[in-house]
Amino acid sequence: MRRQSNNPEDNLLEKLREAIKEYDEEESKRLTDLALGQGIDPLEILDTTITPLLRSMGESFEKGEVYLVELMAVARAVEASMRTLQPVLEKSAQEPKYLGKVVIGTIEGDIHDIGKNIVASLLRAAGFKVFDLGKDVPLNKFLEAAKKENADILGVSALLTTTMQKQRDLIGMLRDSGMRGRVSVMIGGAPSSEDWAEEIGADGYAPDAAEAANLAKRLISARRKER
Amino acid sequence: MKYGVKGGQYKVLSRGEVKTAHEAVLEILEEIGIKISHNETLRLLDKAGAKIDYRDKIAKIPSHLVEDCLKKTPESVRISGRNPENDLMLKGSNAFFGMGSGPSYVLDLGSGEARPGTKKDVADAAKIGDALPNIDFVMGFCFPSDVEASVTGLHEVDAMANNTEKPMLVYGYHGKDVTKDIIRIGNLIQGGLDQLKRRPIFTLYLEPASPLVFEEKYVDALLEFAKAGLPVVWTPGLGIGATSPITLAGTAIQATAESLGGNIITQLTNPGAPFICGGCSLTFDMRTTVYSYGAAEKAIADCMIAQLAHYHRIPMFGTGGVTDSKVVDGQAVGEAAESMLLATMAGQNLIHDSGYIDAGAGASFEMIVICDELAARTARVLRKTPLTVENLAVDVIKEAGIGGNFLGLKHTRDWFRREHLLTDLFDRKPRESWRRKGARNLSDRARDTAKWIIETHQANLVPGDVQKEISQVISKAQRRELARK
Repeated sequence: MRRQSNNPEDNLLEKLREAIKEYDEEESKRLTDLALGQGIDPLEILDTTITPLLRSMGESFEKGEVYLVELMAVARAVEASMRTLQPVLEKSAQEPKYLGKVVIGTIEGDIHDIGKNIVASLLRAAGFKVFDLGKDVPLNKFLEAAKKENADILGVSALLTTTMQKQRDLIGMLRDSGMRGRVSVMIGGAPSSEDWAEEIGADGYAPDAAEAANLAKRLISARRKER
Repeated sequence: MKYGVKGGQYKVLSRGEVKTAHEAVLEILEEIGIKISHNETLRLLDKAGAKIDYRDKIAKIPSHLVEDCLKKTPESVRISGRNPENDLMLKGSNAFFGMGSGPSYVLDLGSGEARPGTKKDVADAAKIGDALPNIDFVMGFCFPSDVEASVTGLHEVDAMANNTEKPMLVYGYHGKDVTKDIIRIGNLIQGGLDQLKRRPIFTLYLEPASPLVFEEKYVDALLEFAKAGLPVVWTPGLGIGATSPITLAGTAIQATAESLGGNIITQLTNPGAPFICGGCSLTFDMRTTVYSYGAAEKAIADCMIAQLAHYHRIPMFGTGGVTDSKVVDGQAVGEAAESMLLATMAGQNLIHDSGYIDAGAGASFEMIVICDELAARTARVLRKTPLTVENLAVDVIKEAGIGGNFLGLKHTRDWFRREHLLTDLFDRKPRESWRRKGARNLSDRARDTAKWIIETHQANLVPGDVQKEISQVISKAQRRELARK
């Protein structure tokens, strides 16, 4: 139910919410700039407007009420807003409450990246800081990035039955370098499966992007509990 | 030599629309271009008149070059089996049916569970394809997970060659060197490169990455077969709305542009080399992100691709007998039947993927058996019997008489086997007879047939001395590839 507010701040954030829902990237950016210009706290914008909207879109997607094309469009509008918010958050010593850090990429030898891109988008939208290494990513680059960014989660995508074998190799490399305990590994891509994840010792597998975001959240809480 | 089932009855585009679509294909190649990560090929295209951006590796191909290459491309392509009776003449709208390759899991014939594919599965499936009368060509069936990954294709070839005498299509998993090994094995079996060229038992099957990206490894593989004058399939698999436009026409023209890009490279390398175009349109499901094989609209987009192939006068690699179902149920048979019939009616020439389930993630022996039956039905439905006095049968109606009966007549005996398609697999017994025979359903019966073929069927083996040399090629290749790691 839309609450009629006399508070101009609320109305501005309400307009931002509408802009995102209407997939208007330009308007989302403009209103975010405006909101910041009027002194509204960037964390408040995140917490009251962006995060709840994303959560409800995610739920609607899982229920089959909205489709991927709509989810992607919302994610892009959110990214437009975040591009403005992020630098402000980083400057203002306020640590944005990222849910966690994810390094993601399509494995060496494989240039399929649509699924991986959708996952990266949804993870960002869900509040993760995502370092997208792109496609055809050499195994040691995954390792270096995970180390450098102090990643919580490593997301590895492979779409070919030949390249998916490298997911196994990567986990081996993590073990050999002593990093295995520090990062949770999730795998995806059409030829992967729950069984494959178990076989190679990954921490999780998700069959689609929405599940991937949920899996990432579960892996993060599991890590928190361990600490 | 087989000449296939005559298709082409289904047309989505009018003659004028085909021409318009063709112009749009030319525009893609000339204005947008293709990224080809292969310097030798970029230079080849440059010399032939294409506009090359060497930094971004993009080749923009002018229409005169596209059309020159089409003129050089053979209109008919012969692909061969070890037994010449199994050779296929690909031309025009004549259709042949065959298997697929690549799925990572197989439905176990014993337990029904999904489990990783093995080299034995490739061998068993090749036997099934070899034994069934309406399967015309054989492919790997599944990804054999129990062999060295860098030479998967060679193990597929090994398993297929010993279990079928029908034409084999090999997926180009690997680059230049392993592709050379495939040719080496072909030479060994046929007795030399000239013999292999004349009767090619292997056709290489390659895919560009949509949209508009040719990777180095696959161009290398294409060049090996092109230089050797051996047939190649260069076919994109497009996700409608993800890696190609959401509109079916947009998908069809992008597919054709990507496919023709492969033809241009082939013809410039070896003018007149046999080339098979293609395009497999897959609905990118906006709910599940699965590239769907069973979607209704697939037939429409693939038909447009076929119409463009006919316009260009080159044979086309198509898809039929496929499903998104995870099991062999009503959805599987419904989607397989529809896709096979429409692919044939569209005039696609090599209709592959019989045996695919779960949008190509899985492989089922039962589905190959069922698809054989579907192919027989398709062939029967599309077979045109010319109208003659004999088959109008007015005299026969007189003979039977008013209130009479046709069962005992010679005319009925003479024509019955031609007119009625007799099938075992799709059951027509009365309920009580069916119940007494065990009340078995279609997938049970298909499973029985698959098991029986695996147990009893054996193609002529490759001669022992040749097999020894093939095994040596494979072990040498394996050592070489492992040393690279």
